[in-house]
Amino acid sequence: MAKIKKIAISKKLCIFANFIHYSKFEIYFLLEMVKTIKNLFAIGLLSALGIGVSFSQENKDNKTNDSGMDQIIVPTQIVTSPTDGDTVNTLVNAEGQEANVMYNIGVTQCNEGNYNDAITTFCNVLQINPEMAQAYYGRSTCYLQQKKYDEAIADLKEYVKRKNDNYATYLIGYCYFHKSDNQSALTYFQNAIEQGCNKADLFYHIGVINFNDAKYDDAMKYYTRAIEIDDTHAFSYNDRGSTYRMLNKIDKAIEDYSKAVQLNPRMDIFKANLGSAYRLNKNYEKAIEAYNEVLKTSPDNYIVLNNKGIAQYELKDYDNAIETLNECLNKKKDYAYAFNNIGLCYYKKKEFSLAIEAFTKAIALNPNYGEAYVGRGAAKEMARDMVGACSDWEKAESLGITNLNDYQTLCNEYK
Amino acid sequence: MNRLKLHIGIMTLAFIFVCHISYSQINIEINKKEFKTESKDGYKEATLYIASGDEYFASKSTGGYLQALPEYLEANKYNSNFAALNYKIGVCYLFSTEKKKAITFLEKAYGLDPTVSVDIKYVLGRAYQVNYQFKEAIKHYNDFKKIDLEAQAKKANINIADFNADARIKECENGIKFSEAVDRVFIDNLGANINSKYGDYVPVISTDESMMIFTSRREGSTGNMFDEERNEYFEDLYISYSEGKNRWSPAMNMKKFNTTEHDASAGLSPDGSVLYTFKNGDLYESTLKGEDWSKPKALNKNINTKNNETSISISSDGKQLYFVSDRPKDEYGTPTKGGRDIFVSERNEKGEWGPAQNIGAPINTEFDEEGVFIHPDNRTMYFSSKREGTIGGYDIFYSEKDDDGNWGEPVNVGMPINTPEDDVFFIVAGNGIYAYMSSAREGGFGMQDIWRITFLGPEQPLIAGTEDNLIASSTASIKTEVKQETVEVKKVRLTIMKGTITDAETDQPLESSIEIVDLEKDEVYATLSSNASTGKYLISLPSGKNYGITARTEGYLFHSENVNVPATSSYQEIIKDIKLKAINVGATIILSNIFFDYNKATLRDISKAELDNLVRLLTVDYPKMVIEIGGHTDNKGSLEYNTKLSSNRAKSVVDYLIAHGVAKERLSYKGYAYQNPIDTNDTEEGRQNNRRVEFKVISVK
Repeated sequence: MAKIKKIAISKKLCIFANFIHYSKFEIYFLLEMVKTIKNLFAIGLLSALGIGVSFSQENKDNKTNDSGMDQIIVPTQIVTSPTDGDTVNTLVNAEGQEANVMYNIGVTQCNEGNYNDAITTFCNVLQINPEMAQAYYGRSTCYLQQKKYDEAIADLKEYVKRKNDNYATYLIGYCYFHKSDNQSALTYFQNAIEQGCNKADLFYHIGVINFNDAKYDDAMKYYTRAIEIDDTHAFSYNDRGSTYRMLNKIDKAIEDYSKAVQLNPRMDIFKANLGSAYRLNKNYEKAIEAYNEVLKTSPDNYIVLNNKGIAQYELKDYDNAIETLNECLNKKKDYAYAFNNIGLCYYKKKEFSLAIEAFTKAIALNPNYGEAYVGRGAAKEMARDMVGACSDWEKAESLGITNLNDYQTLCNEYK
Repeated sequence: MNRLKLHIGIMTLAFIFVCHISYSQINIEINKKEFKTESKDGYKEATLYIASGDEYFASKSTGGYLQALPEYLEANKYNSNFAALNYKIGVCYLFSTEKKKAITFLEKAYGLDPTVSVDIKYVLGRAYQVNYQFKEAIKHYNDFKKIDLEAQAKKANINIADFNADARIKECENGIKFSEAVDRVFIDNLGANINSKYGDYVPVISTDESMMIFTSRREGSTGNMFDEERNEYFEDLYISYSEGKNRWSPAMNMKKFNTTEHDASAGLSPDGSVLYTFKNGDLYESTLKGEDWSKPKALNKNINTKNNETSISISSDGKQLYFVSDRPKDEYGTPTKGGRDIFVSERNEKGEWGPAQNIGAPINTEFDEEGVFIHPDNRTMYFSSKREGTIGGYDIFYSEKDDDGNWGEPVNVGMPINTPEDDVFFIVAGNGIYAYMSSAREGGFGMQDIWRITFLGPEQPLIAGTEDNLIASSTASIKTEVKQETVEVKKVRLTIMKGTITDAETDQPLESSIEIVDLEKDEVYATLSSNASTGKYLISLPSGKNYGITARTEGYLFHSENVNVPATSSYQEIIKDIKLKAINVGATIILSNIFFDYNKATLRDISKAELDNLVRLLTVDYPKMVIEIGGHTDNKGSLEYNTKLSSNRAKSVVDYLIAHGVAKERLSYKGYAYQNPIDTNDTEEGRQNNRRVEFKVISVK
């Protein structure tokens, strides 16, 4: 009865997969072939887990682990289990051998990016042997690759039922993390810790959850723990730098971002954050230098172009700032921030009508952009349109801008 | 109309605007080799223009330079490539409102002949400085410093002391610093109703900006006297009235006031009722009685000396008089720090101005101070100074007095209010938003004009839009910019109370004496009068006091108001028209400044001033008057309780009067509780008005 139930679970997960039947010869041939492919599974898996892809202009030429994180342990062929030192029982009968061979084929398919085929293969394996824990694990990694976190969670849960594996427990938490179910994620992360998991990634992700909850002191603690476990964990350095930044400890942020860049100079995000930290530290030349490093490899990175424009604006290099910001708009035409920042440049250049035009475009793109109303109000003020200025500042306040200086006293004079 | 030309050494207020830079007196030698013209006649004509121009130029006055300019320009038509002539035209333009042209002519002069004048680099520096091109100016001043001036001074007929390139460079450096700030003011010319093509300066205004008096050297001067040295008419006083929104009525010559001599404005009391004028180095005061100004009377010898006293400003309580003098020391023996310093005199018990005291550092310096103005808040002083930190000539500074009465370090108000030339006579309206000044700047009608400055306050925090991907594993970018801190706005801590005082029955304007008492200290803060013709009054009340205000006119019951202005209170205007009731049987007045302990009939100390008003009325003014004191409450609580409370409070007042010599037979009291409300009991404000003590005239006899 129990066996039937497990098959049913497998079928459910395989509902969209095509069943492919392999001859024994084909299976043997494939088995020999895949023996030569070890550890390739890792390539690209990090991006499947959402790591690094957030940065839209990420360096795509990386052939090494650009995350700086622990390499996620993936299923390997036959002998090696998902966890160190564990081994797969040798299957003694023909069916068992067929499942073993098919499992390795699934690993190969996954390596080659044929996730649907791999999932089908793992489904076949589980039809033959519903108790093969590695197949659940293997299939879960394919689902992770496809960002099908619900399916991945189901498989990982099946896996941990069969294998006491703290790392898989962590991965369940990781899936919940990506489903933005932080409470469940934290539960599994905590379970993993209790089970003895001591991976830098685990503490890193707890740090991320705390950061996102604005619990910066806690975030700092977990990032630091991750770094203690693995002092090459570039992601933790980056994120701890961001935590310092949120705590307005910009010097410390620069230190951590610099370390992240040192550990992995190819990660644009680290360099971009280093640039922004320099910018916040009013070291605009260094900021521009860091931004330019990003733009060398990712010239279309509109966020970095915008930030470079701001650094130039702060240097009072308004003409070049406008040029950079227009370049940014060439990459992303509806980027309200860039229009706002062009407005600021024209304001400082005392070209108030052009400033008003730019702020108006920002507002058209984002009618709730309070700061753009503040800027347009300032430009209207200097253009001696006090009624317009006062109206914009009132609108900005209604949109939640709270740090406006007293304008009512003067505006009352123009009523 | 023929004008009377005078070129005499009469002291005018315009002497403040002396050029603080000398220019060498180059002798433009005209010879055929150097000054070529197309014809002999042309040569003769050019020579005549140059000779005429030189005559004016030699006067070294603004008027002289401006008169020389058209002569030189005519000569220049015959030969525009004559270095010395270009030089002189450039110098003349420095004194005009077309200062940019100075650069053109001076650069041309230098290009034609780098040795045209030993000071050409210095003058070029000045030309760039007055045109706000400070970096260029510094270059020229530095070039000038390389010249061995001593070796050439005698030949060039120049005084080395007049050429302080280091000071000019510092001014330019200050200019660069001030240029970096975004202009947070509007500067508007007051227009043709106020300004003329001649000098218009020293504006003085009432605190509420309803009236402006200023000095003008326009055509139509009394006696049609013309000052050839400055190429302007004699100084006369003009008056204009606000028509709202920076519109002013056409300026009228104050004919009753002006004479055939120089008559210049120097200061005005905050309520506009006392005008201070300047004549021949002394200060005079004149009081507005109805529609007429009294004959100007020289201030006493504590103020006027054989030296020059110029600008003047009086505190809003009328107790301190600040003025500028070049006397060598004050009456306490303290030597003057520089040429002109600011002094203060206190009004003594007789109402006369006491010995003047140099107000010392940090206001006064070894440089000249001028144009003092004390804001009606009595804690902010504006003045002009040539001290270090200016961008050229006089700059306007302000200093704030702390609670201990010490003046703070003066702050330069910066550009664009200050220019590389003299900026003097700066006055700020009661609301602190507007200021007025005289200045010869681009866009004016010519010479010095009067301008209104609008203070825009701190710039709004401008936020750059930015985002970063802070978390390496996150998919969403995060908007992260740290917002600017809110800038604290400097508030004017002043309340203005103004209105008219009239007869309650006839509405006729009344001249009343208004006494303002600091109730906490039980001392008179200020005394002033309403205007006899209009009944108008204006009181400046700095924040931080509880004021009792009493208006009195003979034959009328006094009227009292309470104005409590907390220390944190910013600028506000209270308009309060007061109607005085003639002393008749049955007339009642509210005693606004009588206060009791909460729910008790115990008189609080701050009631003393008001009670003494009543004592004075009953013992001095009307020693036979019989009155009733009535107590009133709001409707909170029972009738029985309120009747008892109001009756006891009325009795407390009566007891005070008896204790201070009023016969008890002349006094009665009654508790009315809440049965005679004068306002709603539905609001706190209404209830507060209903809680009151009144007195009613029973008989006058």
